Amino acid sequence: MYPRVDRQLVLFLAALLVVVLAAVVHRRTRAAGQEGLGASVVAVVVSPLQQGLTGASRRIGGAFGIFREIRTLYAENRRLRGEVDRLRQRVNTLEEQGRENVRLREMLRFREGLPRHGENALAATVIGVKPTNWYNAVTIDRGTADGVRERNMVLTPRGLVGQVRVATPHTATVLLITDLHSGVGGRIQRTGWTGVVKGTASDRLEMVYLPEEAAVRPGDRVVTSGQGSVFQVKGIMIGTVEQVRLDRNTSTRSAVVRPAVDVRRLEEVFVLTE
Amino acid sequence: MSFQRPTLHARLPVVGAALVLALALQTTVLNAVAIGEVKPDLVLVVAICVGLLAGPGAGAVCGAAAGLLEGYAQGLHLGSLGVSRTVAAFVAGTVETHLMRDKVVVPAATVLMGSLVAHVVYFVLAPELPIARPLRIAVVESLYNMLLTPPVYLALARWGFIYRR
Repeated sequence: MYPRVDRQLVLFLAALLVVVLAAVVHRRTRAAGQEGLGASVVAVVVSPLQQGLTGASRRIGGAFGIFREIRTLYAENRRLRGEVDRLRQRVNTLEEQGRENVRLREMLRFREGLPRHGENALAATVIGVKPTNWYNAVTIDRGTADGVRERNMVLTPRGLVGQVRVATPHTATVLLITDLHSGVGGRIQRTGWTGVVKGTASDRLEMVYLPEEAAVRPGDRVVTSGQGSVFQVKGIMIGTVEQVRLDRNTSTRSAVVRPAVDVRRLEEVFVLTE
Repeated sequence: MSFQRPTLHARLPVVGAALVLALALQTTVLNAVAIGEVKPDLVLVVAICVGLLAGPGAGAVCGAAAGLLEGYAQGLHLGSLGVSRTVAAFVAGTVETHLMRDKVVVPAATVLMGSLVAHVVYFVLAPELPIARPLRIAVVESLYNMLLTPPVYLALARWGFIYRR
């Protein structure tokens, strides 16, 4: 009886011998141009399994193909979403340019309608808004180098915006008509009654010092009167009367005026330089 | 604690079926799960697992059968494949006798090592193959074989080589 390890070794050597013999026979058979018994047996035994497994794997592959398709669709969806975003951005840009175009045309027409055909009307862009809550003002990109001076009138085609408070070489700070420190000579366009339009630090103005007998009613348009040292141009739209009050102590009337210009959304303005 | 190994011939039909099934799977389904064009060698995994479960002698016989199966199916390198699988399964069986029995880690590590041994022997015996590409293939395939080991080993242990204590 061989010891256990020897038996293992004998098996190993026997297996190696079989392999070597099989390899020699295989080589000779192939050299003779024949396929050989071993290959035929393996083919006969394995091929039915291969056929079954191949069919099954193709069916399973088809099922996995759906997942691959989903992945492809997902990737395509992501790509298309990106393209939609880019196109949406492009549309936004074009719409913005269109709006700007309309605005500039409107400003051009307005400028032509100004006294002296707007020779002294300088176009400016609002580049900043009020830095604090206590001061209703904007900054424009024109300054003393462009001829802007303090107290110049600032307006848009829709109406009055305010006056230049501080001018630096290349920028200027415009005090808006809504600011508490602002006062404009105003006139009720329909009846000609005049008063002073003051800022209230809100989105409404107040027209004061109207005589008690002044004919004013909601809906009346208020324009600049040309009186006073600041706003000397007549007929610039200020706003529309919303409400009329009577102050019995002073026997005067006052009116709440909605500004013609939404000063919170200013983009381009004109500065009337002198 | 002692146990008696079942003789290989007692489980010959199971081992034969496992090898044939492994070859069929390897030539069909496993192509679909190739990693970087490298698929696992399931036949080699079965041979090494048999070596682990039934001992070096039985492993050598199974390795020889595995190599011949693959060689006949491939039509090339019959001797190289046969010898390399025989040596790998024999070595795996020999190593197993010196290691703690385990159901996952030791078989997986042994299959990794056995696969590398098989590749080394194969390339020594088939020197016409360029070394650079086979080296990468050998490493990836050995790792892949290692991953496949637990289910193969457990299936063979469950249905092929139940130890009697």
